[in-house]
Amino acid sequence: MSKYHGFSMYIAMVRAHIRRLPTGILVCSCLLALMGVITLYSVAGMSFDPWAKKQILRFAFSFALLLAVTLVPLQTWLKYAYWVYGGMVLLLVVVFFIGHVGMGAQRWINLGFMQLQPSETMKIGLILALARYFHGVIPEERKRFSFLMIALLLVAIPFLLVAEQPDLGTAGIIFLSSVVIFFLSGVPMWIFITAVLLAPLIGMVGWRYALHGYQKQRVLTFLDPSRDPLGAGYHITQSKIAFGAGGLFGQGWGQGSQNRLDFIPERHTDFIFSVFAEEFGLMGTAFVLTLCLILVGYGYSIALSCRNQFGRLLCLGITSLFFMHVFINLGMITGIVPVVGVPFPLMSYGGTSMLTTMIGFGLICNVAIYRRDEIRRATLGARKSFFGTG
Amino acid sequence: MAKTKTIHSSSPLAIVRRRLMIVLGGVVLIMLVIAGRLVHLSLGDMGSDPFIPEPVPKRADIVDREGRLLATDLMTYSVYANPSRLKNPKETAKALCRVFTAQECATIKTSLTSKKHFVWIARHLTPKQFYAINYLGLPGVESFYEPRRIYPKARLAAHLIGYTDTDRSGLSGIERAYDPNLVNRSSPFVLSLDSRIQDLSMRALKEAIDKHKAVAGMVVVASVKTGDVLALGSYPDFDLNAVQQASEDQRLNRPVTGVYEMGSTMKSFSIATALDLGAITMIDTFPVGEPIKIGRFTIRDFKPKQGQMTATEVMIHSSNIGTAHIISHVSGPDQRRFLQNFGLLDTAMVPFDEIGKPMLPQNWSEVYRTTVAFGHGLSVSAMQLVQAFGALVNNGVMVPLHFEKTVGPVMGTPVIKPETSAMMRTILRAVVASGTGGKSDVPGYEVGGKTGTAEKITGRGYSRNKRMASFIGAYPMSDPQIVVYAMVDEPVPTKDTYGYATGGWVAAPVVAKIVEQASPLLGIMPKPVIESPDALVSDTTSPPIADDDAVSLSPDDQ
Repeated sequence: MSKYHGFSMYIAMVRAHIRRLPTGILVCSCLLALMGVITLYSVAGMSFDPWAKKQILRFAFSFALLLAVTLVPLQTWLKYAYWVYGGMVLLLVVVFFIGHVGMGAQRWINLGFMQLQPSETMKIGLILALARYFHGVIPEERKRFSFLMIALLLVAIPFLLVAEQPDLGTAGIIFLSSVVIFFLSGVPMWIFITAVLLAPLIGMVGWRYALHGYQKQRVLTFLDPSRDPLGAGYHITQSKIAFGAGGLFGQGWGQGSQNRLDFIPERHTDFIFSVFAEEFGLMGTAFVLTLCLILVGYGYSIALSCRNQFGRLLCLGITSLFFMHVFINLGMITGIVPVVGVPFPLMSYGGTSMLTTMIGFGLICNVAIYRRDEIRRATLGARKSFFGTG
Repeated sequence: MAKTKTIHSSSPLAIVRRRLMIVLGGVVLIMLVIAGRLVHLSLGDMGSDPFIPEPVPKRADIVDREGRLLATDLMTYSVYANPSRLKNPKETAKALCRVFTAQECATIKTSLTSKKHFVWIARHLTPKQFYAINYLGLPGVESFYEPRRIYPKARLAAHLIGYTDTDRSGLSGIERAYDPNLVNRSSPFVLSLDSRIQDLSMRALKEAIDKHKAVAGMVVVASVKTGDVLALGSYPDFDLNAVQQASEDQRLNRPVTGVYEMGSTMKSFSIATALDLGAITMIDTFPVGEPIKIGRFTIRDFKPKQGQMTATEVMIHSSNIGTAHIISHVSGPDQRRFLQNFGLLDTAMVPFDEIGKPMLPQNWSEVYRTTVAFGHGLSVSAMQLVQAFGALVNNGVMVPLHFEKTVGPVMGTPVIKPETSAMMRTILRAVVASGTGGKSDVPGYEVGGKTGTAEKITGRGYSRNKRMASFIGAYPMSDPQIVVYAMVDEPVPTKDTYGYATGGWVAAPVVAKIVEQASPLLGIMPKPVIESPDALVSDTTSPPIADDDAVSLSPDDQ
């Protein structure tokens, strides 16, 4: 200890902290973001403007945020999990009332330097809240009706606020990631089985009353793209052409004709992977998918080695969230799932999405660092005080 | 042992481990699906699926009012290729050249050696050509069975029917105006057109054009009672199956797109307005001896007459001076209101994109409102003129012209009083029986109408030699059924016509021919002819008693 004084001691502490970080996650996320920047550069016609430069700055900022997240002890995250959740819900409510109207849906808050999309950050907030809620529950509790009702309420509030915007893709992701957490935290199996059996009925009611015309169109077009080859089906068709044009090795960086000729819609955001696939082929696609799988692998293995339920669920939730983004986006652009406006994490141009993904990775790193900590449920009176004991 | 296991298996970690296996199973499954899809799209044939042409929707036949086929789909073969998949594009092109002309061959060579994923080699092949290509047995050359738009009657009513592009979306005429109605419609689209009347009208028009070495012409035949357009012709015309070879002038739909200063035919509306308002009566007379000065213009007559004339006589002799006097009894706003009601100030209600908008005078000053009264200063389309003329003779009720065959009752708008219409019928009949329109008369059919000879605007003024000779008439005047309009552009006088190239000498005979030939087809019977002095007057062998009606409008400073 006496070896270090003052500033050099800080350096040593930072070094020690960095050494505990899971390097794989950092490297993989950097590579993924790099692929995004390369593609954005190509989409802009081999130029850093208007997207690539901004994306680099955002990634740098988000990376710093990731490191900052790892510096806050897991216990603290646990302590303030509901507050984060509450804050995010508040932002959604703000967007609901004063939100900036863009693309026909109320989704953004204009912060001046960036457009904040609270529905994105909500995903993290909800996972934090659910992880805390299920932290250290005893089996009897899991079966109690009121216990499950509160958990459902935690999900329902953001879900309805997001669905109301309307943002079907994000609402769906919020719902799915909650289901995964419910499932992994040991909610009785029969509930899931019943839900699966009831799903067609709920789907029919939802189709009749809840979905917007354009959402119905998207689902119908998804089921039969040829019914609207010049309208909504156009996106998928052009995207598929891009994959075909890419072939095994791709057409080369900046050479994709679908990209060059403006055939791919939304090619800097939701359809960025189509551009990437066209220019770098199946090889490039395989590379990016491998990066994603490594990240998913890291996430699940860290979760399994974590000794506390909060960290475990947090890690599992975020990893599943990440995987869902990848899978829904890829499914979307290859015509497996309807076009629901889900970006590809770290590659798609978009500030909030990148911020959210990196904060999520920050939390996974955090769990990796503090995984040996045992957090007893007894140390928390917080949940009871938060909701009141009645 | 069993107990410890139970406790152990219900611990959160154990649950997570067990259930994570299920989740991971899902993850792996999804990844396999995605990976499979990516490989399939990137390497499989799926990626090139969009390069196969889409099946084309059906397009309804167009038929005339009697069900005669005017436009239909014919299934033909087209051939295409994906050049990036051809083993040897040059050899393929060389082989294909044996079937095509040298010119087509050059295009095929360029497209096959391009880096595209889809090129048409040829569209709509004849069965013989397609057989020849098939016989070559070229790998990578694919065929596509697709319909082609065919017009069995070629030139007949080409302007009205209109045409489509290679992919059969409508570009002009009915094909364009009713494009949404034609796509995926199961029953044929029935036009108001009668092919026989169209054909005989065009023959009559073309005869006059040839005789007078005219540059162009047009003809419209319509039903007064229903507004059904029975014939709509424009000359020069073109073959709908070879639109590419047609010039812009050939493709011009004159009666719909063209707006013209109609000349003396417009006097009918001025007289009707004055009569309907009670501003004049049938027995009032007006001086026609002295030219009228308005501002720096002087209004003269083509063949000056002396003395006083009734409204009927003004029409018979087509006197500009008389018309100017008559319209001076009508206020400016009243005159405009009637023109408006006759639909002469608004674009005709025909759903064609290529419809011509009327050109109104710069202002409604005394000069302009007077010249408009005898047909100068206001340009309208033949469609507007025919529709308005129908109202004059149809008891004052105006029925909109249309191209779809009428089914069910017809809605009309009253424009003038029935009594006024009766007076107009008498006047118009007199014009034909003993006036400038004599050449349009067909014994027994009681044709009534009005000639028009408008000097064409060349550069800044009116030309004395370039005229548009027209005639508009309806018959039988006792109960008008049909309105016929014919116009010949820039007719040259012949010996036959005693050196005249006016509406009465050029266009009226066209109308007569149409009336004569169309009536048996339309089931309109001639009335027994009573020999009268009037009938002798219009005898074609006698020299012209009535001179025509060209406008003499010259600035005073000339």
